[in-house]
Amino acid sequence: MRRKVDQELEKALYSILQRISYQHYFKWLLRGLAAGMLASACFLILSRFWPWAEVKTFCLLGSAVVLLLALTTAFFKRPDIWEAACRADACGLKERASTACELSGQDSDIARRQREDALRNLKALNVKEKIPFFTPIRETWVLAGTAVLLLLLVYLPNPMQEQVQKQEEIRKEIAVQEKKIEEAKKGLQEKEEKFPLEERAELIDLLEDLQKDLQEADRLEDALKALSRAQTQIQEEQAGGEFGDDIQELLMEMKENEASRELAEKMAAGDIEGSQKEFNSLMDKEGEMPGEGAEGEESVEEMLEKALDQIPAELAAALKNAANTTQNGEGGNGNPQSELNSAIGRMCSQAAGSMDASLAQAALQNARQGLLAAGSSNSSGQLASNQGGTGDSASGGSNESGEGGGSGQGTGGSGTGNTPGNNSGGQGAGSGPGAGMGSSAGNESQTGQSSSSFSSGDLNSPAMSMREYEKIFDPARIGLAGDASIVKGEAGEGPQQTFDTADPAVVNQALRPYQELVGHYSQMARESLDRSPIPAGMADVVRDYFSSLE
Amino acid sequence: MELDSFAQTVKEIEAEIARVIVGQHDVIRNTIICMLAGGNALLEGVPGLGKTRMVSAVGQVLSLEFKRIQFTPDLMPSDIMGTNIITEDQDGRKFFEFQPGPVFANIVLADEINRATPKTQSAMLEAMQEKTVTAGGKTRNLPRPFFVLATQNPLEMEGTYPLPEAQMDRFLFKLMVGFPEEKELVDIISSTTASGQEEPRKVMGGEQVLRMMELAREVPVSERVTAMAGRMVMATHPESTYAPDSVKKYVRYGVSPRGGQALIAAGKVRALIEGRYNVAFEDIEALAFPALRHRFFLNFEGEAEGINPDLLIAEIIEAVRDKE
Repeated sequence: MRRKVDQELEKALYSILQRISYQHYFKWLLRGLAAGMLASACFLILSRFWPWAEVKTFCLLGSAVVLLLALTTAFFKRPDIWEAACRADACGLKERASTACELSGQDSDIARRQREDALRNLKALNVKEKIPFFTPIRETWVLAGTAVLLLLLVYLPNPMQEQVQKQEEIRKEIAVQEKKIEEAKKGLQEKEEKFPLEERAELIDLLEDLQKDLQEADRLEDALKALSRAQTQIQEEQAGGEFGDDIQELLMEMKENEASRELAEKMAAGDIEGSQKEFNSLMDKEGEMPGEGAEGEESVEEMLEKALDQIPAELAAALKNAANTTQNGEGGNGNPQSELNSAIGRMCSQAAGSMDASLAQAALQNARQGLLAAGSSNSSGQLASNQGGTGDSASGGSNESGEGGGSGQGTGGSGTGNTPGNNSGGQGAGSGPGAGMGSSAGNESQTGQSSSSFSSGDLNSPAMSMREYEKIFDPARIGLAGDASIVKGEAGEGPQQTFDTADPAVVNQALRPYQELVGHYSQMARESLDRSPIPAGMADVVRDYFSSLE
Repeated sequence: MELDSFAQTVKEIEAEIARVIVGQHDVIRNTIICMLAGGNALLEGVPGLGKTRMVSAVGQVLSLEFKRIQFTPDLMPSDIMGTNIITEDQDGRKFFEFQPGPVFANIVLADEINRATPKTQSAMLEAMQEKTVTAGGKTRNLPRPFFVLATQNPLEMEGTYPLPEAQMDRFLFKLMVGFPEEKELVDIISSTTASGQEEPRKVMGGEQVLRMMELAREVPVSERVTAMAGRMVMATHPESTYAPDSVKKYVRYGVSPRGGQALIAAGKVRALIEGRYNVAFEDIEALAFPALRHRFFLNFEGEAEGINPDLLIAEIIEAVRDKE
């Protein structure tokens, strides 16, 4: 309770109040420090039971908060003039000061005499001598105890340190991959500024969402989940194209031909107008120099023939009509030039979209592999280190698909091949596992195989918990282009051979989420069991098998 | 009489009494405190220590009417209070006239009060507490100031009637008159056996005593000090949280609220004597022994072991000081 006392008395008590206030705050400072250290010790003890990467930050923050609370409490419990009076009484004033405080405002003879007596004694009081500044014993001991405890906890090895380090690595890896995705996004944005495309804008949005998800992801599982979601979306968008997946192959083949390379590059960049002009220019050249293809190279006609076989009937008809009109001057149905331009425009859009999607897929695949490698590096041994590499293609530009370099086990890398000397950037896309280069030397007794698997090392490792978000090859899709290469070599046999394979993961969309794939096969198995006359005992075996997989 | 001269006057009184009483400074000081606080004192000590002489000297110094009543088993209440007797007026008509007893004085010395029967002892109750006497259906005021200073002999207990608790509680102080030191004893022998013994001089009159009592009542007491007195009284009760272990073990019933009143009232006088205008903790602690020692009701164990209440009070003071 705050008492109102005479001004003169308050002035006389001020030096005592100041003295005990310092002492009071010092005591609470020690208490706050001890409590803060105790809080830190509690955090450190907790960090020994489960991995807690931010424990040091929490220790600092917790200590600061506790100290602040202690000082706030000290402020609200600060001594007042009444306590100063009581303290003065304890220093030999024999309750003169506290009685004078109580009598403040009274003007009786005895009250006046009492106040004068109190003031006289207060003035004679040597505050420094009577109220020495001291270190509170109890608080000091508690502080020392907590300091010792804290030091022990800091210096004794933490059994969870290894897991914490792993978490840190995963976080760093998430940040690294997020930056890579940012780079890929910037590349797309630059292209978008030059040649705006709706598909590309959607892709940029998707990557932005993915970045946000990765920034929010604390766990490997969350990051992989976000990546998986983004990959699935890109795949779905790719699959919905008018010209199908073959558009990329067409582009690749066009790039191999010097005459059509520029057209292919413009189509890949999404330059519709440029593509239309280039196509018309190409058709003019072809009209002028029929059959003048370089030796060993496909002529433009042959390339167009192939393209006509690969593109849908509507576009093929438009192209044929346009070709006839251009070469023979015969009219077709409608305005052939306009139809041709429209068809080329659509094709160009899809080609660019498909290339962009492939690039994005490659970036996501790299990110996935990087994260998995970080997640399993400590528990599952060495994961193949050749993930995420960017393969520069040779000057001939023949190696558009990335090389998952390295022989032996491991996941294939992915990469983009930039053709030198071309500003528009001939971007060969190829990503994903399985696109590895298997090599075997005759004098080595090893088996090199390009595997599609992400699952390296110990299956019981924590990485297995991520299995749901891993993608595995769908056996039904393997066997098309981009088979996994298995190259066996035996010691002392033959020369070294190198094979390049296309990337099944991207080209065939052979990678599918584990759960989806297992569910699909499980459904198929159930349907087969219902239809086929299989013995009841064996049917149960099949059911049990799929149940165990799920 | 003003506040400034209060302490000086008391010192003069003490000095005059010291002329006829050798030593016993604490007893003299506490007797004066008790009187100025408006209370009655019970002096306990073996015979021959100057109790009666001291009370007589106080009466002389204060210029108050002093009467001594020697309590014996056959003493009747009317012998103390007075009685109505038949008298004749000038016309020969007879009527009852109240003949005041020895209690009608400013200072009454009830010598060896425990030798009288309880009936006679209880006759003193009204006089001590109410300062009035009722006889023949009529209540009469006693002269002011009025003090009862009683003595009792702790050794000769045969044929005595220990004072009942209710009557003990009416004494503000119980003072223990101890045996004098060797040097004091020599002085006593010398001064009492020589011719021309000294007589104390009058220092003040009854009016001044009343004024001093009035001044003492004005002394302010801090809430903390009052609270401490309350805690001290509480600590004498075995069921209290303040009570030390010894109280819990040996006390059947603790001090009544009169004990707290006695502490504060006497504390005010002591504060003025000490030159302060407020009561301090040390006043309460110093006066706890005379003010509380006769108010304890020891249990059987306490009685059997002959527990000295002063020891209990010392522990109570320590216990209360720790809680402060």
